[in-house]
Amino acid sequence: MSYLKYYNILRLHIPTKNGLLYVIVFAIFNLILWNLFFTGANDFTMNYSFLAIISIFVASMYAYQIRFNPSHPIYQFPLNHKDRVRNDYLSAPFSMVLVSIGLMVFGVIVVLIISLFTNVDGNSTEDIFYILGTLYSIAYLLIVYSLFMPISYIHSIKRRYIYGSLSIFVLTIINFINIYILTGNVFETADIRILLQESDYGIYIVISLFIISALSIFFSYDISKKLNRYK
Amino acid sequence: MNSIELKNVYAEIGDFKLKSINLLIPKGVIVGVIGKNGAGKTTLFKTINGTHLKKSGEIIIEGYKFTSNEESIRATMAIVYDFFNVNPFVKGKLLRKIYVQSHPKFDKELFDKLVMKFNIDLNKRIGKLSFGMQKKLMMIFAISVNPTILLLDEPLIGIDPIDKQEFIKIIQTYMENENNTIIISSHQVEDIEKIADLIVFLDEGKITLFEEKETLLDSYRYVRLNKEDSNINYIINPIENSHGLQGIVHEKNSDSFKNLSQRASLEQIFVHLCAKEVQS
Repeated sequence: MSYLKYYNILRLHIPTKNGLLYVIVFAIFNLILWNLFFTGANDFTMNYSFLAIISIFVASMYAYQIRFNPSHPIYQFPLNHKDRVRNDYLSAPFSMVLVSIGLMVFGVIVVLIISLFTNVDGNSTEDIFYILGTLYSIAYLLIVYSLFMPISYIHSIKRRYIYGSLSIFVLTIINFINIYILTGNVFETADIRILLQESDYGIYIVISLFIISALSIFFSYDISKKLNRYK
Repeated sequence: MNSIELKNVYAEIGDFKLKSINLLIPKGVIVGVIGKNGAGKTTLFKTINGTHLKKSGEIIIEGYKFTSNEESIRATMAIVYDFFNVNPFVKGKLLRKIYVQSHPKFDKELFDKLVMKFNIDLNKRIGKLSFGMQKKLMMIFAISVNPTILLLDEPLIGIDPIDKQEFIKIIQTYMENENNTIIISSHQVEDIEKIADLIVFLDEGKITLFEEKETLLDSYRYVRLNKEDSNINYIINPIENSHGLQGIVHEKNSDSFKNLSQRASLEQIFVHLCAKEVQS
């Protein structure tokens, strides 16, 4: 079944508070972790990572609520566990793209309105773009995605928090190892994206992280299918 | 081939357990499931529907298991719950569109015909429809996917008597196809008595009786006796009232009662066989 059809079925979902606290707790932990390693000290930003992390956890919450609500309308359609997992995994990028487009349209409209009333000639800001840093952050977010999606298919609240905490620990270790490789100092507080740009090892770290993220997505998807399978 | 086979199925929801469920349901029958509140009727339906995962045992639907054929099983089975399980802000016409898109066996013509017949406004949000209308809509969606197995959990609650008769007619028309099977639960035992072929009594998560309806009705007689009557020991779980004792007796013991007994209704049999606490 194509994702758009699945998305339409998701519109029949009645969101509940089930799993909401877990989602809030671990979304906040991930945002804190991101800001610790990706923006330097004392600097809290909300960029695409915010959107990505929120999308991952909203998709995770939907997957959890569908999986553990036996009367969910999704079970009235001829889908198997593989279809559900595949589409659950597509939900996060889909909602991120959808919200991004919405925000872009909103942004363009706001800028157009402002330009009607303001003299914007000569007003410009220069955003620095770090290609390695951006690739690194994409790979990092894919690892976040692959670590937290299988937890959506675990029923026990205790186990969800244990695996969630372990995932945060793994992400912290990954960041510390990379910072150590880049600077020789574990407690360097500069933005990892700048460090990647400035270091000779930057490209190798990015490639390695992409390989790890691809493998983790593969294993994560496989584990999710097993967790979702009818026994 | 049986329509549904449950072999030694155990399932759990929180503290509630379905215990050692064994059911062999042939094709072309209506099975009425009767039980008190909390007896496990809805859990049984969810377990058969493969949405509440069993702990152990085997469930075979039309010869297939969920482990390898979930998609085709879901295409052949439809379920109606005792509540509307869809987002109340969705309009009926969107739900219809989703069924058209995503259910390969959805019969648009049948659906539209039934919607017209029951005068349901698809432009209204589902939450704005009355409870009875919601139930009707759920039934119509379930029947319109042409399932060979229809699970109906308290489908007739909240439907007025005239529409109820219409629905019973729809169920009877659906059952003209001898491959179709219905499992229906209801507190309104007289409705089940009208339409069911087989009866299941469920009590505290266990099947206490699984019998053909006619055999069951022929097996018991309903009696009223004075407290001093020497035959009161034959009465199964008697209920005491101001006139004496009332209850059911097994057909083999009914000779002792001659003109004092009458054919027991399904409700009377259920009350006296299952609801033991009424004695007190």
